[in-house]
Amino acid sequence: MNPKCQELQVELADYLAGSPSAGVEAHLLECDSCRANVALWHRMADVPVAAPATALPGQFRRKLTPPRRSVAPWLAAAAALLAGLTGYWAGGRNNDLTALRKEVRGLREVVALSLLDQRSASERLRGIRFSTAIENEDPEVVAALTRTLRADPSVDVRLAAADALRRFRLPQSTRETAWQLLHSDDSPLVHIAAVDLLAAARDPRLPALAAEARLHPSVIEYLQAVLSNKQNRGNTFQ
Amino acid sequence: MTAVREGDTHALGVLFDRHHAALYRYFFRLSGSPAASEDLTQDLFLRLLRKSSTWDASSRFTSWMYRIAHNSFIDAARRGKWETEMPEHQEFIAVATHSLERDQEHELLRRAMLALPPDKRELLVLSRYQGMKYEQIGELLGVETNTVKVRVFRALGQLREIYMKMSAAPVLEGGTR
Repeated sequence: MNPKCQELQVELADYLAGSPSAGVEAHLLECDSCRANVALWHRMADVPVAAPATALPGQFRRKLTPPRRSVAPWLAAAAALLAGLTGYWAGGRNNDLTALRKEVRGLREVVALSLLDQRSASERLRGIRFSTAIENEDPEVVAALTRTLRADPSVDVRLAAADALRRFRLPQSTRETAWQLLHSDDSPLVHIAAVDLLAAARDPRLPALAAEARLHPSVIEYLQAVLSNKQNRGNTFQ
Repeated sequence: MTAVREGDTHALGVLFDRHHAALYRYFFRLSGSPAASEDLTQDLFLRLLRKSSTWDASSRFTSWMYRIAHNSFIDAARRGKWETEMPEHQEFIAVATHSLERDQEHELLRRAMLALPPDKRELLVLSRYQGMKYEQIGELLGVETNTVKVRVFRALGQLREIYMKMSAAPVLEGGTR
């Protein structure tokens, strides 16, 4: 830092904060170092930051609430299940059975969604396993699995989420997530899982992906095998 | 906050709704860790509850909140907690942009920020990302406004040196936007 830069540090900081200054601008024309600092300051604004989990306010409120017996969602699930069973055995009617089945399906969804939100990777994996027991396609579960696929810090959990998603008819948002993972995720294993999801959805962008040199050779090889297999079966990507 | 001081935890929930995202971003920019940032954000609001008797109703709530957040940060920095967490994958990498080059530049800048000494990192986070004026930062840190300005510009210079070493190419020389 030359003496002129040192002399102008206060004015340079004001300039960063948005105060125009002819003296600073004249200095920036002749000082590469300060000009680069100002350029970096502008680029810093573009660096995105993740939002906090949407569940955070709920978690915080639970901390504020005095502990009660209903701390775990699966306890509520078990209580509801018990109520359903009691009703079934007491009545023995078909509509009770239907109601009970619905109740159980709903409980599985609640438990799966709750577990997917846990801090521990093994709990999140349990949530994914729970989701595979859900018979009907639930958009909320698909959305939660998609979020997990996109953002979970653990490769294992992301891979498990991809596997679980293959059971569902994928919405466009999930396909976009799979496509983006091919460009942003570091793990070739996740790339292969994304290829599987896109192939199952017959995404038309998939054939062109084989020409992308930056993908790991094993991913390209796998993709070519998938494409060849689909062609042999007469399936097209459109 | 007056209600919180009188023990109204529902009011604390309202304050949490209003301010937790900004505080999460503050801790996240400082630590690089989503999990640590969530923990620190929640702990901070519990601290606000415990320290509510120290709040002066005539002062700005956010100034008092950031003072406590700053102290949390100092405590954590002393324990070395902030220096060890470099996430391998973050949500915004997947959703923010399609440009690999831009992603790489952002990642490099994040890493350069995390490589700065904690006090300098905090100066840049407060001034660049939390929207605080130099005067407010001076009050928070207990130093003169001009001292803050000098330190911010020096921290920026140090950040650029780290960034350039990491990128091994002076890609920012010249162009302002």
